[in-house]
Amino acid sequence: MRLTLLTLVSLAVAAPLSADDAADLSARIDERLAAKWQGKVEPAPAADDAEFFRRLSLDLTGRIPSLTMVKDFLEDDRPDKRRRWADEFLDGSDHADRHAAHLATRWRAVLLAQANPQLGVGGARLENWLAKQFKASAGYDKLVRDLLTDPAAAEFYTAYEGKPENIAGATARALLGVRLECAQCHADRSGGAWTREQFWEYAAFFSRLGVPRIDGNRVQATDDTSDGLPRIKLPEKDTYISAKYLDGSALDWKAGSDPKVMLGEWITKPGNRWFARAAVNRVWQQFFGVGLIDPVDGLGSDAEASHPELLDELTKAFVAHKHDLKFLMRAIVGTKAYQRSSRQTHPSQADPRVYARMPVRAMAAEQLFDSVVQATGYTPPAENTAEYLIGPATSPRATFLAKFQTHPDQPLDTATSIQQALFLMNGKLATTAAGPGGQTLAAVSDGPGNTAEKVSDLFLVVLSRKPTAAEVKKLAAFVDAAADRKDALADVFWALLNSTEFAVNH
Amino acid sequence: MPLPLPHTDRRRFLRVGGVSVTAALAGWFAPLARVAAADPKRKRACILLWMSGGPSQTDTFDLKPGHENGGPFKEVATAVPGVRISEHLPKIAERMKHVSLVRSMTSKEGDHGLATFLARTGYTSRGPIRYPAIGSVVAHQLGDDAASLPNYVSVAPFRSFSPAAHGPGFLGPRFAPLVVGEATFGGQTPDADKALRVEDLAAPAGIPSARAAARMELAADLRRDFTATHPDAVAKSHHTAYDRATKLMQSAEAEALKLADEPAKLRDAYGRNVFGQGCLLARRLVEKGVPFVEVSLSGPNGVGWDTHTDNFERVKQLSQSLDAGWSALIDDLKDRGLLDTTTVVWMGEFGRTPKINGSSGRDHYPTAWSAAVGGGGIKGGQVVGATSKDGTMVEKDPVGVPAFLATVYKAMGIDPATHLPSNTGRPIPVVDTGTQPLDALLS
Repeated sequence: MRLTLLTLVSLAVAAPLSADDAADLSARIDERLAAKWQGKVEPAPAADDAEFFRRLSLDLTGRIPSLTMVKDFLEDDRPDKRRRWADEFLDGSDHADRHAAHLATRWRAVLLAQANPQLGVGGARLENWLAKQFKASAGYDKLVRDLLTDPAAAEFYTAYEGKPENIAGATARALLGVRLECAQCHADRSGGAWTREQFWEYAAFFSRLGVPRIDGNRVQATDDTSDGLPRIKLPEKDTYISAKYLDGSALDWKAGSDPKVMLGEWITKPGNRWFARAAVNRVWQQFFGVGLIDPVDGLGSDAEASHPELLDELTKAFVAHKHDLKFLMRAIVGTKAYQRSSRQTHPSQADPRVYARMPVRAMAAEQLFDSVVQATGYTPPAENTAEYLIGPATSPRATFLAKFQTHPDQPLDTATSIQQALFLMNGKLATTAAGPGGQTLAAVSDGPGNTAEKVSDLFLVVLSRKPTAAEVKKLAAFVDAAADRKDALADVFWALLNSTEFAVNH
Repeated sequence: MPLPLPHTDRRRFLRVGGVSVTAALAGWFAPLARVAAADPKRKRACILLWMSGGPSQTDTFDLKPGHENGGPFKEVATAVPGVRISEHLPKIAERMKHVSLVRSMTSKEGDHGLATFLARTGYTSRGPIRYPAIGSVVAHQLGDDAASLPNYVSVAPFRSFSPAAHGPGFLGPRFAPLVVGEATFGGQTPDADKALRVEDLAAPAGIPSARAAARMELAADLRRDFTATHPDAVAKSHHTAYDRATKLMQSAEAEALKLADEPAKLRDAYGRNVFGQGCLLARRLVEKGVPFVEVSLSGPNGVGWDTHTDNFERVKQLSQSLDAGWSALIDDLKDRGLLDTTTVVWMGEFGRTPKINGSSGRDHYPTAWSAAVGGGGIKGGQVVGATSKDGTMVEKDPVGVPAFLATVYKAMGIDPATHLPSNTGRPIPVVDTGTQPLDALLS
C-alpha cells in the first residue's frame, strides 16, 4: 500500500482534540460492542466499586491497591470517582512512577517474549529504559523509533543475540503484530502469508548491528558491512537479499543512512498498515485478556477481528492522538465493558470476545509478587541488578518470578502448577506473612476492633473488598471458637492469600 | 493459538481401570505390584538417568584400549558376547542384555547450556519457540490429570547449565517437573534422606496438622465460592492445582516420596547416596503411575561429569554410584514386572575429548559420544554405531540427539511425529519432522 501525501496531511490535521475525546471514545466502544449482541447476549451487571478498583489498580499500577486506598475509594462519594481515580493512576504524581514501571514490565515481557532465556539476558536494563520513556509520556511511535536506535535500549538486540533473523521475528511480532518468522524457512508460503524473500528482505534491516554473535563455541560474523542498500546473506547460500519494507515498497537509500532509522520511520509513520492497529490490539488485550484480533500477533494472517469497525475506529483515534497510549487506556477503562463484573450471570457471557463480562485473567508473575508484598507488608531485600543472571535466580523476587513465569500473550490460558500452589501454601513467603513476623497481620491482629472488624480488614487488605455478611459470620465464628484467636486470624489471612480471588485479576 | 487447558487423550480413558486398581492397593508390596504390572493396559514410563556435565564415553562405554587416548581403565566383557565396557561398571556389564548402547552420538553443541537444551528437548535453543523438556512432553502425552502425584518428577537436578531445558516450555506450568532435592553449585548434602525432599511439600514447622487442615479447608471454601461464579480457565486451573497440591500433601501417594519403609538391604543395593536412593525413588514413583522420572548424577560438587581435571579418579567414583544405582534399578523393576513397560535412558549433554589434556582431564566433546537405553520397548544388548580407533570420529551410523530421543519416545508408545501446540501458534512435532527412530533398538 502506497501512502499518498493527501492521506498523510488529512491524518495530521485530524479534528482538534478535546478533553472529552476519551469519554466519547469509551461511549463509541460500548455502542460497537453492544451492536453485535443483537439481543442475544445478556451482559453482566456493572462491577461494584471494590471489584472495579482492584482491577484498575492491577491494570494501571501492576499491583492491588493498599488498604488506605481501598478505604478512600470506597468512601469517595463523587459520582465521577472512577474516572478521577483512573486519571490519578495514569498521571497523578503519587502513581506516575508506578504506572510507568508497570507498563515497562509488561512491554519488556512483550518485547523479549521470544528471546532465548538460555542467554540469561534478564531485560532489567531494557525495562529501566522503557520506564523512563513511559514516564516521559512521549508518543508510542517515538518510543518505538528510539527502541530501535537508542544505544541505551541495546539490550533488546542483545537478548536476540544480535541476529538479524531473530530481531526481525521479534520486531514484526511485537511492533507490527505480524508473525513473520515461519517464513524464515518455508519458501512455499506454508509458513504463513509471507514468503521467504519477504522475511529476509525485512531481516536485512538488521544486518549491520555489529553485535558479535556467539554460537556455541564459535563467534560468527556474517554481518553486511557495505554502505549500499543493506543486504543479508541467505543461510547456507551465496546469495544476498536486499532490504525492502514489508509492504513491498523500496527504500529511499542514500549512502550513510542508518537502516534502523529508516525502518523505524517506516514502521511508525501514520498509514503503516499494521503498526497502530497492532498497538491498539495489544493495549486492548492488556485490559480484556483477548485482542480484537486474536492472537495479538495475528495481524498478518487470516485471523479476523471480532469487531473490525471498532478496531479501525480505535486505531484512527490513537493515531489522531499522536500515538498516546494513555489516551487509549483512559478510553478503555472508561467503558462499561471494562467496568462490568467478572461474575458470570448468564451463559451468553462465557465467550470473552463477546465482551459481556470481564473475564478472569492470570496475573503476570510481577503483578502477583507485588500484590503479595502489598497485602502482607513484606519488605523484600534489594535486588541483584547484575546485567546477566546465569543459573537459577536467588533473590526472593527473582525466585518468585522464575517460578511463576507467564507469557504476556496468554492471560486467559495461564495454568497454575502444583509446585506453585505448594510454594504459596508452605513456602517462606506465605509462612512469614502468616506467621508472627507478618507485618500486615500484626497490624490487624494487634489493632483495635472486634473479631468481625478484623476479619473485614483482612478481606480489605488481601481481596480489596469487604467480606459478605455470610463470610463475616462464618470466619468470625471460626476465630472466636479457636483456642488461640491470633493464630486463627493468621489462618484466615493465610486462607485469603491462598484464594483464587486473590491470585487472579478479575 | 491458545493452549487447550483440558488436555484430553484417548489413552487416558483406556488407562483409568489400571490406575484405580493400583491406587486402591494402598501399598507397594511386590506381589500386589505384580498384579498391576500384569495389567495389559498398564501405562508406560521412562526413567532418565541424567549425567550432568557430560560423561566420558572413553571411560564408560566406548573404551579405546591400547590407544594413547584410552587412559588407564580396563575394558571388560559383559553378559552380551562381543560387547565390552569399563571395568568400573561391573554390575551393568552383568546386566548388559537389558541395556543397548549408541556409540555414535554426535552433535554440534559443545557448550553445557546449549548442549543440555538440545539433549533434553531434542531441539537447538535458538529460535523463538520454547521447547519443552522430554519429561514435560511425556507428562503431556501420558500423564494423568486426576493423579495426585505429578506426572513429571525430577530427582536431584542440577539445572544451572540450562534452566529452560528442565522446564515445560510452551506446554506451560501444568507440565513442569516436581523437583525433589535440587542440586546447586557446590553440591548438596551427601545424606540422601536429607537431600531428597520435595520443596514446600510439608506444612511449615509449628503448624500442627489439625490447624493446617482447618486453614486449608477455609482456603478451599473460598476457592470454591469464587470458581462457582467465575467459570474461567484461569480460575479453574488455580483451583485444580491447589486441590492436587493439597491432595499430595495429605495423601498416602506422597508416601511414594519417602524411602524409609524400603528394606535396608534393598536401599544398600541401590547405594546410600543421592543418586542411588534417587533411583529407588524413581522406581517407587513409576510404580505409583508417574510416567516420567529423571534422576541426575551430578556428583558431590554439582557439576558431576565435567571432568576437565582429574578425570580418571572422578569418573571412577561416579561410575561406582552409577553402577550400583542403575543395576539395582534394573533388578528391582524386573522383579516387579515393570521393566517391560519402563524405558531406562542413560545420557548426558555430550561426551568428552578422547585426547587427555594436561591436567589428566578430558574436555567437552560433542562430535562422538555414547548414550544408552534399555527396558520398555527396547531390544537390549544391542550396539549402534562405532567410533574410530582414537575415538575422535564416528565411523559408523552417526546418531543425532533427535533420533535418539525419537527412539525413546517410540519405545514409550509416543509417536515422535505427534504435534504439540506451541507458543508461536505453529504446532511443533515432539521430535523434528523427518527424524527416524533407531529401529535396531526397538523391540
